[in-house]
Amino acid sequence: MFRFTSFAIMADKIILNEAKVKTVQLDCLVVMKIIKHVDSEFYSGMSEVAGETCAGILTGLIAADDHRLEVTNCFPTPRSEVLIEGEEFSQGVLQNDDGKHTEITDMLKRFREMNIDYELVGFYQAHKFGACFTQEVIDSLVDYQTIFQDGVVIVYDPVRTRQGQVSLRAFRLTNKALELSISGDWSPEAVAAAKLTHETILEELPVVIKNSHLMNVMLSQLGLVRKTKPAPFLELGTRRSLEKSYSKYVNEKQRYDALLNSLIQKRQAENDQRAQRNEPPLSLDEIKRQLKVPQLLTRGGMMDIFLNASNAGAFANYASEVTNENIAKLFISESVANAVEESHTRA
Amino acid sequence: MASPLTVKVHPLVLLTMVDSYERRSKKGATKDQALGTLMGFYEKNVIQVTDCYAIPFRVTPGGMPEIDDAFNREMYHAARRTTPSEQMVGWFFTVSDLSSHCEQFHNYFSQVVSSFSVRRDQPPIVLLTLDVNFTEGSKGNLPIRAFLRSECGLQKQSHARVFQPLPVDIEGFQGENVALDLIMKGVYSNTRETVLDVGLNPIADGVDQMIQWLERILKYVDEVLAKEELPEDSTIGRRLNEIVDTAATLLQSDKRDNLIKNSLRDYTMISYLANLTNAQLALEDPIIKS
Repeated sequence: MFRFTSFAIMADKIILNEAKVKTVQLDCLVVMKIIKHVDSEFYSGMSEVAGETCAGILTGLIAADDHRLEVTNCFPTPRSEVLIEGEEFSQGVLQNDDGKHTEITDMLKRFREMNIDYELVGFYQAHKFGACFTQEVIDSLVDYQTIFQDGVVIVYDPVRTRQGQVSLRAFRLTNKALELSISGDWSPEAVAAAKLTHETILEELPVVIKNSHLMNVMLSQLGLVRKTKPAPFLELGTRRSLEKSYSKYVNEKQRYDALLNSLIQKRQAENDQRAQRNEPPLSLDEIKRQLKVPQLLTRGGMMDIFLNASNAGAFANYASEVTNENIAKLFISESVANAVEESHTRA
Repeated sequence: MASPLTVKVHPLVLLTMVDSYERRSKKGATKDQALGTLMGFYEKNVIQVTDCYAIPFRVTPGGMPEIDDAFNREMYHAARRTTPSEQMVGWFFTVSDLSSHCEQFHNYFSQVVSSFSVRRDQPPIVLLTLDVNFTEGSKGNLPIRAFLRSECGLQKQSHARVFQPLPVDIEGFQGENVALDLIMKGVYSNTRETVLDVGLNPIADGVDQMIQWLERILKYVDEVLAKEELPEDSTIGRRLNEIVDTAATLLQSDKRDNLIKNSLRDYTMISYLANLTNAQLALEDPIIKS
């Protein structure tokens, strides 16, 4: 994902105001556009090949008195090409960042010509099973939220939608998480001081979909014309996706556990180290060497742990929700079959 | 010459057309009109229109229509980069009747398409119109029409070009259909809003809908039996037969019991593990803080 590097330098001096937005309102056009972009990529098989998930930019405006963020349009960002050769890859990525930036500004200029709202209000990404907590998403969110306090990311889950429930959720970083990201300090002490848990990094905003009057006319007409197909989620067989999500969350959980254990061990080593310093040092060099060891090896420190925890939580939530729904479906089918049998025995 | 082509329009295209109409420029000779390019792909006898974007255009006071070509090309390249499977298949215009300007616009678009396409023969270009004027004839609808331009004339000389209408179908990808269902609920609310619904509610709605359908089918069967006439719908009779057959074979009590028991066991196990994970995650937090 690209970064506004010049703005990041200014970020230290910006005073963070409270974000004023409490709900996110999407135009129905935006919903359809996001879904169409993600689905058509899925159809042509590209999402398996490329390294990045498909993403795009949201435009709209902020209604300050209603505390609402209105998203009125969006456009997809092109993917950077994945080069297989090793050394050329990093160069290609750097050039792509600048190229993407100019493409986005060009697109926004064109929006302005066509009377479309051209103010950037956030971005959207597609993630399977709702596990959207990656480092780059957080980085992009930090960039957006330092520039305008009300940037959001909309996460779209194509797997869930294919099973019949549109899954669009809006997230943004909480204030505390934002401060920590800007200062770049993710050590356990700072996190404990800010009282952050993996659940309070991102807060979810309620999403509402709104249509204009002319759209309503069009939609009612479409309702008459379309051949109605029964919704796919009433089928009983959804085991394959469940297995995939289960194995994914098992992996995530293991990574999270490993990171957590290493962190705890290092902290214990640090404590022992401090206890030892009270005794007279035998040789300064050895102690200096030991001092360097308990540093956290992961760059993000607690951040990675939080991200893995959130991902594991997301998978677990998805799995539990889907299983609940499937149990409900089973009971429904059982009652239907019982009724059929009763009528058989009666007739 | 009847062409067997059908045009399948995705709902996103229609919504974008309505949106670009709402944002049209309100001055000059081009008021109340929006124009833009259609993207999609060709299949056998079908043109699938999956996306579109609006482009600025105007009609000079002298009556000459103009289109911003650079804009069109830039948007086309941007669209190609994000979705390489699509190509330009036509253009849209929100007018009720075709005028002479349409001929010139169509010329422009056929030039652009042939400059972009790699095949030697020209692919058919579709003109999609949307009548937003709510005239008497349309009875409160927004009629959508598609046209293909073809040559016609006498004795193998092309005297004129005619815009032939084509049949229009509305079709969408799987996710699009689901989203469309959700958005259409907003038609019924006063504030034109819908809140995203998760959990068991959509299942309840789906079951209600199925019950409605079943009741309708029952009524229909009763009526047909009462009148004792046989309309053309032997297909419905066959479908009902199929449904009852599958119900009878698949829902036999022992098979069904096995299926339910096994699935229930699997699901409860997964649910237990998922809740366990959540509990463990919740436990880790105090450990981290201390």
